[in-house]
Amino acid sequence: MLLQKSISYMRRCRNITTTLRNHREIAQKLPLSVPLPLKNPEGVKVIPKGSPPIGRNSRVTKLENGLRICTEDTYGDFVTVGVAVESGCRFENGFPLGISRVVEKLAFNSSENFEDRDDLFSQLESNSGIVDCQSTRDTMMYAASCHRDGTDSVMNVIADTIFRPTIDETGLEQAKMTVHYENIDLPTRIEAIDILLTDYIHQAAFQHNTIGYPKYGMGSMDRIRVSDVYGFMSRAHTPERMVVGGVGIDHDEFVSIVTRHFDPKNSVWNRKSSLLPGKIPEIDISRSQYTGGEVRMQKDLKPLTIGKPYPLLAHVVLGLEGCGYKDEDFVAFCVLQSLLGGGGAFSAGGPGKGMYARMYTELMNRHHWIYSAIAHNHSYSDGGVFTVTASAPPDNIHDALILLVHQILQLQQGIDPEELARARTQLRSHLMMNLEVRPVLFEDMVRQVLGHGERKQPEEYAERIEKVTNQDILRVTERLLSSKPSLVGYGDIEQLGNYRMLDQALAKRDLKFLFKN
Amino acid sequence: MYRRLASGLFQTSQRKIAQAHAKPVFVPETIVTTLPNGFRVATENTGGSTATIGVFIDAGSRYENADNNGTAHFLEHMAFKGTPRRTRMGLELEVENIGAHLNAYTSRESTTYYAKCFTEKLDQSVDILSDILLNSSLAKKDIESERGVILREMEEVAQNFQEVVFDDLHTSVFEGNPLSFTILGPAKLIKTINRDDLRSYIDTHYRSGRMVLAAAGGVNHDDVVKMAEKYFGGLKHGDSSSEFVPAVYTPSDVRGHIKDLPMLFGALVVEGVSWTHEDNLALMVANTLMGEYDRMRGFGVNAPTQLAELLSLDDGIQSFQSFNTCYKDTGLVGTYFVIDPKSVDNFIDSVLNQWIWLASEVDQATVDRAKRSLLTNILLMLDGSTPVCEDIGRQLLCYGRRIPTPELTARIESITVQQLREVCQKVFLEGKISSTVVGPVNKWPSREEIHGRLIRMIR
Repeated sequence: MLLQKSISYMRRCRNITTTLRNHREIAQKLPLSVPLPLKNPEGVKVIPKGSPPIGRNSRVTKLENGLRICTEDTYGDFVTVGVAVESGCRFENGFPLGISRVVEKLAFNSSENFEDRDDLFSQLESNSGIVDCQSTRDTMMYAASCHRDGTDSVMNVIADTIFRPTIDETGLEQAKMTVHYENIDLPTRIEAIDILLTDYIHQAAFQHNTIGYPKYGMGSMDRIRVSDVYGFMSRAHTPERMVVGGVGIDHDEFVSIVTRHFDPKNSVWNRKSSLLPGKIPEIDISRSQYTGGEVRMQKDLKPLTIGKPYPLLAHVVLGLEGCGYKDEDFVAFCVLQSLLGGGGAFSAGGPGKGMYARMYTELMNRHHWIYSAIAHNHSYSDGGVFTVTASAPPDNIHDALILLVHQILQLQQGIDPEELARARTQLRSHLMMNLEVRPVLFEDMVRQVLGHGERKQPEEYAERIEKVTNQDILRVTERLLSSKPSLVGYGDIEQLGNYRMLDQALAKRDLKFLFKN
Repeated sequence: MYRRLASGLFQTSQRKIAQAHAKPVFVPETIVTTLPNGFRVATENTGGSTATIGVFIDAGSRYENADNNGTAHFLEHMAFKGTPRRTRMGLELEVENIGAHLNAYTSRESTTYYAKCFTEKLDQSVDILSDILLNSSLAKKDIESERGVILREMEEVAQNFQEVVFDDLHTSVFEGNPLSFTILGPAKLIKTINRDDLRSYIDTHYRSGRMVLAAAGGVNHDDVVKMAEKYFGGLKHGDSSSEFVPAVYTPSDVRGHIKDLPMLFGALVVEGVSWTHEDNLALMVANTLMGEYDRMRGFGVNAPTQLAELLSLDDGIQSFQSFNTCYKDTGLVGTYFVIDPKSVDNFIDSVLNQWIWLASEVDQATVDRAKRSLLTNILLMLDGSTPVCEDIGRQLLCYGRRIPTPELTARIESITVQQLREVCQKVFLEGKISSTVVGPVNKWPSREEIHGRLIRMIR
C-alpha cells in the first residue's frame, strides 16, 4: 500500500508541532510502543495494496548551453542531487600533474556565497544535507543527499563550489597538505593497498598517457599555483562537460532550479579573468594508448603486519588490455570478471559472496599461502585494462604470478554452462542490488548520461548480461591474450620474475617460460 | 484526550493541504499481519527487482542461562552447515546460483537471519531461511569443528579492546542477570555445548510469538504472508515472557590493567532507558549533542559538537564516541573513549561539563540543530532494502510496531529544550556513574571520585 503524500509534508509537520505545543506533554509522555494519535489528513490518497511500484521515469533535458540535466523518481522525502564533471587525472596533460586531486580537496570550502566551510555546512545542516566530492580518473562527482525541500539551496551550494570557489594561498596550501598527508597515510593501511595497486597498474598499462597518469602521486604538486587551479577549472567546468542529476525529484522543478544556479557565464573566472594565468592549455582529448609495461615497487611492508592476523605479504597484479564501456564486448568483460571473482581470505559473510568463483575455488581454496586473489575490470570511455591480483608471502610471489597467468590461459578451454550461468546471475544481482541505494543510482545515472549521452536502464544491461555465451568469453579471452601484459609488483618482490618471462609466457601461451630453471 | 488531539491535528493539516498545490511524494507504508499462531509478517514495498527478507527472533544471549550461555551464537555458526534437504555445498551452490546472499548475526536480545535476493526468488529464499533455522543438521563433526572456530573468534574478540570494554561493562553493571552474559559465552561452555543443547534451544526459543518475517524492496505483502504460512505456519506457540528476567543496573568499576598498552580504552556511563521509554528520543538528541571524534578521521560528515571541538584540542584524545544502547527494560548511555593516560582528567572533566551543560544551559538553536541532524541521520540510513528490512524487524521486536516516519518526525519535533534538560538532569546528573577501563588504568579515578567531581562542578 502506498501512502501518497503532498510535498507540503514538512510544512504539515510544522503544523503538527504547533498543535502539539499545547499537547506536548502527550507526545513527550507516550511510550514509543504506543502510536501517536496522528491521522492522515484528507487529500492524502491511499493507493490500494498491491499497486505497481513507481517507475524510474528517467528524463533528460539538454539546455542550450550544452548542460544536460537528468532525473529519476524514488520513494521518500530525501533526494540525492549533484554533478558529474568530465575531469580528473586523465585530463591533466599540460597542467601540473596532481591538479585534479587538489581541486577535489578544495571542494565545499569557501566560495562566493559562503564565507568558509563552517558557513557552508551550517547551510547544509539546516537543509538536512550532506555533501561529498570524489574524483576518479575521468570523472569528478559532486553529490549531496538532502531533504527534498532543501534541494534549491543545496544546488546553490554545489553550483557555488563548481563555478564560484574562493581559492587563496592558504586554502591551496591546506589542500596540498591534505594530499601530502593522504600519500603518507595510504601505504600504512592494509585496506588501502588495493587503491595503490590500481593506480600502479594503470601507470603500467597506459605509460605516460591519459588514464595512466597517477592519481595518488605527488605529481608536480609544488608547482601548482592558485591561478593554475582556476585555469584547470575554467577548462574542465564547462556545461558540455557536465551532467547535473537528481534522484527523487520532479524533473521540471529540477530543471528550473538548475537553470537558475548553473549559469556558466556567472562563473568567477568569467567575471574576473585576472584570476586566470596568461596561457591555459586546452583539455587533452587524445585517445588513451594501451602500452603495457611494468611498475615494480620494492618496499618493506613489515610495519603493516604488526598486530594483524596475517604474515608479511607481497602483491602482484597482472593486467591485460580490456575495453572501454562503449565497446560491444564490455558486458562480456564484466561477466568474465564475475566468473573469476575473488576476494580476501578473511572476508566475512555467508553464502552469496561469490565463493564458487574461480579465484576462490582455483586459487585460494587450493593454495593456503594465497591470502587474496581478485579480478577487476577497469573500463573508460575509450579503453580499459582487465586485471588479476594476488597477495602472498614474498617467497611465493612468483608462484602467485604463475597461477594468475594459468587462470587466464585456462579460459581458452571454455566455460561450463552452469558456471557461466552463475557468473551472469551474480553480475546481474550485484548490479541490481547496488542500485537499490540512492547515491549509487544517482552515480550510475549521471555517469551513463555523461558517457553515453543517454540514460541506459540497468534492465538493458541485465538483458545483455543474460545473452553472454561461452563464445563471447572465448572471444574476449583472445582479446586479452593478444595484448602486451602489464605487471605490478609491490612489497618485497625480489623473487618476482622479470617482465620478459611474463611477456613470453603469454605470447607463447605456455607457462614454462615463467619457470625459473 | 488523545482523540481530541487527533481531531485538532486533522483540522489544521487539512486547511494547509487545501492551499498547497499537491505534488505527490511517495512514501511506502509498512504493513503488518499476525498469523493465527502469533507469527508476525511485516513488509514495505519500496519497489525494484531485488529485495531483502529476514527472520528476526526475540532470542539472544539474554535469554540464556549459566548452563547454556553461548548457544544462540553457536547456532548461528551452525546455520550454514546444511540440513537433511540440503548439504552444506548444496546450500552454498543454491544460494550462489540464484544470485542471493545469506547472512546472520546474534546480539544480546535478538537473532537475525536474512537473505538478499531477486524478487522472483523470494519464495525459495524463505524456504532456505526456514530450512536452515528450523532443520539445521547439527552434525556432530560440524559441531566439533565449529567449536574451534568459535574459540578462535573468542581470541580475536579478546584482542579487540572495544569489545572487551563493552563485555566487561555488561558483566559488571548487570551482574546476576542474563543481560550480563557475553554473546559468545564462556570458553568452558563453548567447549561443552552439544547437539542436544542446540536442538532444545531451537525447540524452546524459535517459537511463533518470538519471530518476525520482515521484508523490504520489491515485495508484495500478500505473497510474503503466504510464504510465512507455508514455511513457518507449523511453529509451536509461545513467546519470550516466561523467560524474561528484568535487569537491574548496579553501578560498578571495572579495571583491566595492561601495562604495556600506550592507550587507555574505556567507557564512562550511566543507566539509560529502554527502547520504548518516552525519554528515549530526547536521550538520542542528547547523545547527538555529545557526539564523536576521531583524530585520524576528523569530525565526520556532521558538524562537530562542542565536546568534540574541545577534546580535539587535546592531543592525548585519540577518539571518543557517545552511545545510547537500549534494551527491553533498561539501557546504557555514555561515552566510549581511547585516550592517553595523561588526558584522563581533561577527558572526564569535559564529559561531566557537557552533561551539566545539557541539563542546564543548552539552548533552543542548539537543540533544534541536533534534532534535525538526528532525524537526517536516521532517515538517510534507511536507503536500500537491507537497512529498511533490518529496521522493520528490529522495530517490531523492540516497539511491537513500526513507527511511521511522520510520527517519528513529529515526536522528535515535539522535544523541547525544557524536556531535554530535564531528561539529562535525571539521567546524567542524578544517575549513578559506572566505568570500565582497559590498559594503563592507574590514573583513572574510582566512580565515587568521578561522582564527587560532578557534585563539585554542579555547585
